[in-house]
Amino acid sequence: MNFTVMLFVLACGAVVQAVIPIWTSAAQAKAPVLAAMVVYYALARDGRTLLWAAILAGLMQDGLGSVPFGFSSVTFCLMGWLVARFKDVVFAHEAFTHMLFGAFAGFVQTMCMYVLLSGANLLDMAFVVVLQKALATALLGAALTPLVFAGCSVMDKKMGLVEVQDTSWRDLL
Amino acid sequence: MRERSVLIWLVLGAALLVALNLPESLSQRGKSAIREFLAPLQSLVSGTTTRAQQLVLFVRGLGDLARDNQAMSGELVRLRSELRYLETLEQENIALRQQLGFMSRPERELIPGEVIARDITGWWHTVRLGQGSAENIQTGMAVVTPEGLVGRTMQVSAGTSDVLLVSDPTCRVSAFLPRTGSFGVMTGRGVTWRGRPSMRLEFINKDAEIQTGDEVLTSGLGGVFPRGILIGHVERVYMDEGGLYQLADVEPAADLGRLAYVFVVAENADPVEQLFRRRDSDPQGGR
Repeated sequence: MNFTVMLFVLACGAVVQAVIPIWTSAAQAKAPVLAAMVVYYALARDGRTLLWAAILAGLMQDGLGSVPFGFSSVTFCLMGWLVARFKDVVFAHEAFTHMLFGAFAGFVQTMCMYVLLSGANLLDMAFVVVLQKALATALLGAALTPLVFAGCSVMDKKMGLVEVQDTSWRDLL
Repeated sequence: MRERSVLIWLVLGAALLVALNLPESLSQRGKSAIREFLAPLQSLVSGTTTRAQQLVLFVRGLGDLARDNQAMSGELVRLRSELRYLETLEQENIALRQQLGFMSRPERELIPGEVIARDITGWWHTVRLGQGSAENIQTGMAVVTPEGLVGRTMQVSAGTSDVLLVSDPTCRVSAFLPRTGSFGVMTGRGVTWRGRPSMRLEFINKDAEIQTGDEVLTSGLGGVFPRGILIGHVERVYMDEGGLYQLADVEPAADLGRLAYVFVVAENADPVEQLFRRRDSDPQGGR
């Protein structure tokens, strides 16, 4: 059940990410829906679930894109592991925390992907452009992650999979 | 507990190493499987957003319907008369080609395609169509809109196909400028800081008198893109650093940022070499 729900949620996330238009004036930055979902699994679920989520999200992203198989899984695992390390020292259910981690995830994921793609000679892009893309992705991640977190926690609660605290929206207002 | 966690991470590491080193064919098969799995959901979401956009456009354009209708009636009359003129020219062309013993150009089928998604990562300039090998689309076919060239098909599964746009830096097209008769190689340049797709025509003869606004068409050389498709218009002309060739910035004719429906050109271009080969083997010329 847990796995099926996760697969469904990630599939929806992948489709939404593919359909959302690219931010063309910011080096083609894309809203990191799947990265935001990995942040959710890193903050709200155990390590094993995070692992599966990171691998599956990566495979879906690579399957729907032109990135070689496995690249996104590596970046998602690394990013998820980094977020999970700070899980116990932050207020994991605060919307502001989600925004910060969303921005962090967007930035780290873009930079890691750049390193992997450049290392494999698949990308010829100026570093300034990549930095612009990473910053724009971070911005999109910050805006998106609280929404994704809220959606995923509602889904998990409805399915009775986990007792998740509500995101504190009042803190943002 | 800790040992188990380490074991899981080790297994994961090994699995990722395997995934990263998969043979190309296996990797493509895996990707196709994921695409096929997600294609229905993707088509549903994409179709819903497209219909919503069309509804908004329809509601916004209600007031202009009468004016649009009048303008289109005028356009229809003009196009009909142009068509009649072109039909006579085509007949004349066929007759002249027959007299000279030239081959007739093969008919090309246009397969309509609907854009269901853009590149999920934004690293490349690609779009995904909701049609694939089941509709006879194959890798390496040209993709066009009524405005001009869009790109070529890259990876094709049964129900989807990825199109590499002409604005992508890895996309190269053999092009020529009909006004001057000069040839060059069109290379994608990504998007400008304003978000406009841009391209550059390279290796143009340095003596050719290129002007701003000149049309750039596909040359048909190379075997992927049929001859004579409009790629775009020249925006700026300058010499390369070595002074050996001219370069020209080109604005794409097709609106690459807002593609919704496209056509895949089913038959590949008629490469010049093939034409000669066929003519050599067929002393009568023509078919």
